[in-house]
Amino acid sequence: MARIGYEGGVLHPAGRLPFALTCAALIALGSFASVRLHTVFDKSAVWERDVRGRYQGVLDALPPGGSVLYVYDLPPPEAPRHLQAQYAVAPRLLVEEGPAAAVLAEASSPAGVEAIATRLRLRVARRSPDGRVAVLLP
Amino acid sequence: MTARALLDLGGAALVAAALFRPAGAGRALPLRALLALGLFAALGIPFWLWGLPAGVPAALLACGWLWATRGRPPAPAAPVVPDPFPPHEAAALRALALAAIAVALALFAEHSLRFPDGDWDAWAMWNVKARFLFHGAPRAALSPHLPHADYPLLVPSGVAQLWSLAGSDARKLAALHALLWAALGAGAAAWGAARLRGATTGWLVAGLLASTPWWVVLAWNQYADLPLGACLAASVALLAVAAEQESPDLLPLAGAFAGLGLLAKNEGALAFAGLLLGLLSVRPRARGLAAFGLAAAPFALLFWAGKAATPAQNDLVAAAGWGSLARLVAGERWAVLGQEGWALLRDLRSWGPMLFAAAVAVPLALRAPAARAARPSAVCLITCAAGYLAVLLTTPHDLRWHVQTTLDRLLGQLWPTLALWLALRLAPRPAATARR
Repeated sequence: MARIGYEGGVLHPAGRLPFALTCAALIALGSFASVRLHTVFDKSAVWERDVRGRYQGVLDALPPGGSVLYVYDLPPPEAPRHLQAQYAVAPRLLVEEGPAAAVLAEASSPAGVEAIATRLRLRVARRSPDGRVAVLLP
Repeated sequence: MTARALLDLGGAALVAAALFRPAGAGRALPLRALLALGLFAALGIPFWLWGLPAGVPAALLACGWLWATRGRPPAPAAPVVPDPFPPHEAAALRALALAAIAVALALFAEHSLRFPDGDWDAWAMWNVKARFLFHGAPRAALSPHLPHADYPLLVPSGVAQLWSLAGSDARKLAALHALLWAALGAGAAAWGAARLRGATTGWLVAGLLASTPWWVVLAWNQYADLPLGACLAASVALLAVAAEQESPDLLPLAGAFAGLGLLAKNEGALAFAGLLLGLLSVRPRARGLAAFGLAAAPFALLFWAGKAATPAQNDLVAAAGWGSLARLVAGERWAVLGQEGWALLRDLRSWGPMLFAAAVAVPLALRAPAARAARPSAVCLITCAAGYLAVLLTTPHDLRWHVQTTLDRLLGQLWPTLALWLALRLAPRPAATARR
């Protein structure tokens, strides 16, 4: 068993105070950087703030489980929306092809959703408040 | 659902108590809470995947162990290293660390209110799986339609367990889950530092982690890198104390945390190998090695069974072949990695001064006198870093994209262990341990 205790004030490597002061400075600077990161970099410009909220209005019109066909008309930077949609509508599984009980359509404008419905010859059963997400049924 | 989750919670608490009973770890509150949190999540996995309520047998086993050892006193806790800082300095440094923790908590709370769903990996991988588990479609959580469907389920299971307890999939519980892992992970690293270098050094480690901008970001993003980092730090801290204070009774706990890390992410397999090598580096007795392995075995079995139940194959494994060797030695790929590493080092926005300070501190720490306690963490860090390097160099994806989207999170996994290693090498220490 190692003997615990300080012998002759031996403290390595450069003494107690430089270690403490360096750590203290880093903690202070790090906290400042955290606050700055938090206040300056606002992801709301990039991501939806309320992912589930975007799809909340149409969930009732979807079947409670199983597969849902996801059709979207979004520019490439918004393509990850299908991952957000999957998160919001789970436990329904979003698929991009194959048989499904319903269609979840998403576009950058309400007209885009209408265009998807027309193309698929389906009717809009439920629409989100902003009109950009809809459930399409036969 | 709520009753089963309550049984799992009770089972987790009992198993944690049973594992701690023979260990001379002292109160070790962060470690006890972290183990219970991890076990609570792990006990849910057999239920979600196979309908097996594992909390009941786990509780029975733990009760049997506690009953069988009721007359045996727990191993005496090894002495805590006296604090080298005089009281007034210790109080000032502790206040600074507490202030940093308070700032981190405030930022976490404010950000989680604004972005209640976390960030990319949270809604794309972890919490979406948790929703499948909670809403009774666990097989869909393994669907190849989901990104990284092959990843183990510790984090989704932990979130779904909390939702089961509450009876609702409230988003604030997912944020609370992330906060618990972050806080207890930092607490585990701080516990190791406090135990071996004095209480004030422990507070400084906690303060440094709390004031690392990217550490807080990983927490509010609700990423699984943080639970893996917490398990790694806890296991390394226990290995460090076991090595320096010759307390082999801590090795089962270290094994349990290594096993939990396996269930957190695929990278947990690499971390497990690193921890095993770290343990071997301090030449444990066969009994200690067996105790580490036995404690990790149930989690390894769960990891393997989960993989067997998953139809999706890992993208990196699927692409492995002779071409990987060619990619490994391609000079331009090393150059890309170097460029991105340098860019990350200069990323003061995400990392503040921390990464740069660590880069300066590592050579200083290597020149410091050897410390037996620091050996497991060093071996583990080297193993993980070498593994990450190999995986990134051989990736079948676009290398620059893969590095840019991965490197900071991989570093986040190792961050508390690196902080602990630096503290063990650089913090003031007793002369007796400085010679070892």
